Amino acid sequence: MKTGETFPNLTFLKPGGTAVVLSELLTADRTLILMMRHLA
Amino acid sequence: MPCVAHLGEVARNYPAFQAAGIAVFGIVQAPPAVLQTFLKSEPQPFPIVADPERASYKAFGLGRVSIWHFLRPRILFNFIKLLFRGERIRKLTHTEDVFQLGGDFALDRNAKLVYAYPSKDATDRPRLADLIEKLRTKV
Repeated sequence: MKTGETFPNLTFLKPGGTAVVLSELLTADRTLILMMRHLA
Repeated sequence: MPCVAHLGEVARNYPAFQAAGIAVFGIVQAPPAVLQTFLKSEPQPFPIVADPERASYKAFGLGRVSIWHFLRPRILFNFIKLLFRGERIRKLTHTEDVFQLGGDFALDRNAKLVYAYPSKDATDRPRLADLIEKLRTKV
C-alpha cells in the first residue's frame, strides 16, 4: 500500500472480543498504528 | 521482544504524541484472549486491538521472514542490545507467527495512508523523534 491510498475499513477485535471497525479508531487528524509482530 | 520494546517506548512518550495531535493504537495478530492477558500484566495508555486473521498485515503489505533471518549477526546483535537494556523475552503463544513482520503506519481521519514504515527486519522500527516529527508535519 502506498501513501495517499485509502486503507480498507477493516474490523478488529477488542481484548474482550467485541468488534470494532477501523473508522472508530481514527480519532485524530493523524493516527499512528503500531503493527506488532507478536507479544513475546 | 523488539516489538514490545517499541510499544513501550511509544507508550512512555505518549504525551508527546498527544501534544502533537497524534492518536495511537496498536494491532496484534494474537487472538483477543491472548491480548487481554498481555494487557492485564502490561496495560497501555492507548487501545490495542486484535487481528488474528492478519487482514491488516496483508493490506499494509507486511511480509514474513525466514528462520535464517534471525541468525544474521546484526539481528542477533540488536536482540542482545535490547536484553542489556532490560527488555525481557516473553513467552510466545502458538497463536502468533514469529516470522511475521510489523511496522509503523499513520492514517488520516479518512483512512488515507499518510506515513508508512514497514519494518525491514524483526528489529527494525523508526526512531521515535523522527516518527513524531514526520507525523507532526503530515497535516
